[in-house]
Amino acid sequence: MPLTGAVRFLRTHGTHNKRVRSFAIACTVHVARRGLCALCRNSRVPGCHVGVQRHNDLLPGVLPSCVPPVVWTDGWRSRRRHEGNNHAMAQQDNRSNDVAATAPTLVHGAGLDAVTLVDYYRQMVLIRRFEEKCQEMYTRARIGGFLHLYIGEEATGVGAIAALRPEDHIFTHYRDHGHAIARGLDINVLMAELFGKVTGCSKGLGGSMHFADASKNFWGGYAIVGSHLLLAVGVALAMKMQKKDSVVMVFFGDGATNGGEFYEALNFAQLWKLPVVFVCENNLYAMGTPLEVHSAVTEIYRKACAFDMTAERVDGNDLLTMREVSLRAVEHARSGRGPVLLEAMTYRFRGHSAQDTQKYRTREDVERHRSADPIERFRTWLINEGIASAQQLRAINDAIDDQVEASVRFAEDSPEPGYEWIMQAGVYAAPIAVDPPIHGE
Amino acid sequence: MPVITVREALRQALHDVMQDERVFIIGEDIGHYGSTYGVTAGFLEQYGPERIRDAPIAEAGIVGLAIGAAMAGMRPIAEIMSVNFSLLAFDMLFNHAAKIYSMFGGQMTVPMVLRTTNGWTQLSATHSQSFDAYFAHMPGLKVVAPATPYDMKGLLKAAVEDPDPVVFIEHTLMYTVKGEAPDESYTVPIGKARLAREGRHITVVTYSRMVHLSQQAADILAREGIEVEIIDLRTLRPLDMSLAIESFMKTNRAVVVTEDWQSFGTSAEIAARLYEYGFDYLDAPITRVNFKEVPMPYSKNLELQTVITVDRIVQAIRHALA
Ligand SMILES: Cc1ncc(C[n+]2csc(CCOP(=O)(O)OP(=O)(O)O)c2C)c(N)n1
Ligand SMILES: [Mg+2]
Repeated sequence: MPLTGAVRFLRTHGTHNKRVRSFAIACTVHVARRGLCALCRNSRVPGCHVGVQRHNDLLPGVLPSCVPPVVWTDGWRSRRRHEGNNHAMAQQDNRSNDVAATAPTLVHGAGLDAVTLVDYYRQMVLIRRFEEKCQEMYTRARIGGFLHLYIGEEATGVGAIAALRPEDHIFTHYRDHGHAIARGLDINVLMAELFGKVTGCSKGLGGSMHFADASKNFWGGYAIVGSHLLLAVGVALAMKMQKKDSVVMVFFGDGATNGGEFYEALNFAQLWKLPVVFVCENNLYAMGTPLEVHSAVTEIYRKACAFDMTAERVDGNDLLTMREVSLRAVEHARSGRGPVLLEAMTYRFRGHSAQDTQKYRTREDVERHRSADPIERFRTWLINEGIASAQQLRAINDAIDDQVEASVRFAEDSPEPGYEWIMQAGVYAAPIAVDPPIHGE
Repeated sequence: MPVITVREALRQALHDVMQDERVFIIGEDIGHYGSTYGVTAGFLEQYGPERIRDAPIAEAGIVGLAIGAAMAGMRPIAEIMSVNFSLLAFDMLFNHAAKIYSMFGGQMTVPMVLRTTNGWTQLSATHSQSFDAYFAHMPGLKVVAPATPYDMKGLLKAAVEDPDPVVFIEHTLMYTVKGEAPDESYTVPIGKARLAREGRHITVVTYSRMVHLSQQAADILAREGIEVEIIDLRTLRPLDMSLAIESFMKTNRAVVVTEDWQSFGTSAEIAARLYEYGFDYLDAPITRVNFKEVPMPYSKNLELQTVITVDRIVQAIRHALA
């Protein structure tokens, strides 16, 4: 029986019959071997973008066999390869390069005009240049604390946030510069925050890990790994109770999916069908611990299966795919069908934070990923498609450089807070005078 | 004025605040089960599952969702069945509820209430604790622990109306305690202590259930002509020491009674502030009465030797007067 016929048969006859089920599994496995998925027929895209849910709709209970061939390995394995010269691992490593090379032959026809497309490019470059400047200012001790750069992951944040409306909500982790910029926060107030100035987006009290702008429903960067997922679900609960159709998008890392709060958040969100899009930025490391070392399941999106939650793995370095998949997820959540977990495959080019010596990966690992730089990929695509000229894009870069320089001047010229600033800014929304005051105050 | 129980006072306050559409209650077994201590019994039937949210056993989630919902304009009341389980939500409470207003420069508020309950009755070590000092240690939180039905009702309403996160501490052995409370709606301000009993020989500074035990101790001593003044702090953060210090300046002697462990506990802070402000008025060292410093034993006999009894308070007062 031709495969399509088999699928049609299954659709009409259901999958309750044991023999039918095992046949279905055999079919899907078979096509997977040939690099095809009988269900979604999405053969060429590395990593099927149709997602678990859709498969589940088609063939309840049958695990999709077209889930991406595991190509996203890198540092950890390749490093072992250097040591052990393992042939199989070498092969996998090559495939990871292929993935980078195949995208973006994409669904960009989705009615996007040149202005919008070029603006996505602008946002990514702004994040990149802003953060390069952050690093410089950090080295010159103008910025203190931890500095977690988003460099290399820009397409994930820009693509995902492009799918949101202004009335939607964002929560993110300490690696928050990219999301803040993609949400449209002014880089002047961001640089001022990093400098600890009163003009900062969090009045100089938050720093790099705690950017926020409530007026933009950008609820902030949170530095306790995994914990902000629950706050995001809480906002989603409020949206549902207030009968608003806003969606909450929450960003976190691969490392955040091992803690209990992640599972509590997924359960609550699915139990109460709350409008949340969970975006896991899988950059293959939790600080310096490789994915394979920290998670029993390395395909993070599969963790959603336990909650019967729609989930998809997506090439997060491909801006338009990221946007497309996010749009689908956001609409799913908005329509009341419950939350979605997206696993965006990406890679950070810099250390975990400015202090990181990166002993856990080799320079070659990083270089290989750099050759698939999401910004460069998108730039090439824009030019090849005739959407923008190289010259136009260069002009954008130059303007961004000026903008970044101006943000440093703004931060430098902003006033330094005195101690009274804390009390003025407030510890409580409704402070209560302590009588008598605590000694030493 | 009608005489009601603490449980009834809490129920009245909750019915009152539920008039506000933004208020909802989230916690374990608050609805279908009928509420562990009967406080929300019947609420599910009256208000429905949207606003009386039976939650999974996920304390971080209960408090985390309440924080998020509060940030987005709701007025959630999160109930943690017993304070012992609140440990699983400390991250939410300390790293988020207490920080969000200040750390983001006052852009967002977290108007939520965490209701929970202290207590013990042969439940052994993990189910007989008090974390009052942990909560009260944290800038950004407000912490109240009332003793009477009147204060329970008024402070719970005040807590729900407050724009900051408030931890509201009850006590399993107090739900049947009776006292006067008016039928109508009212608030008792957060951060104000109360003179619970007037006397001129010695000051007892205390709060929550220990107010009642201190009253009993004072009754016993009154027969011998010893007049005990009792200050009920009602709120632990912000801590209003004005009445206690005033009283101490009059009596020159103080006993601090708090139902937690002595080391680094609430009584340490209270005594320290009395020393700081009342040093010149001191006639004797301040005496403290607390749990004995062991994990709570199960055996009834051992438990009663570990917790605070009226007799121990009487002895402490005698000691401070000697
Ligand atoms: C609860 C908690 N544990 C540990 C840390 C220290 N820490 C900060 S980031 C991090 C790694 C997180 O990795 P991942 O979730 O993959 O995010 P990424 O940094 O890769 O974006 C760790 C261990 C923390 N901030 N919070
Ligand atoms: Mg990571």
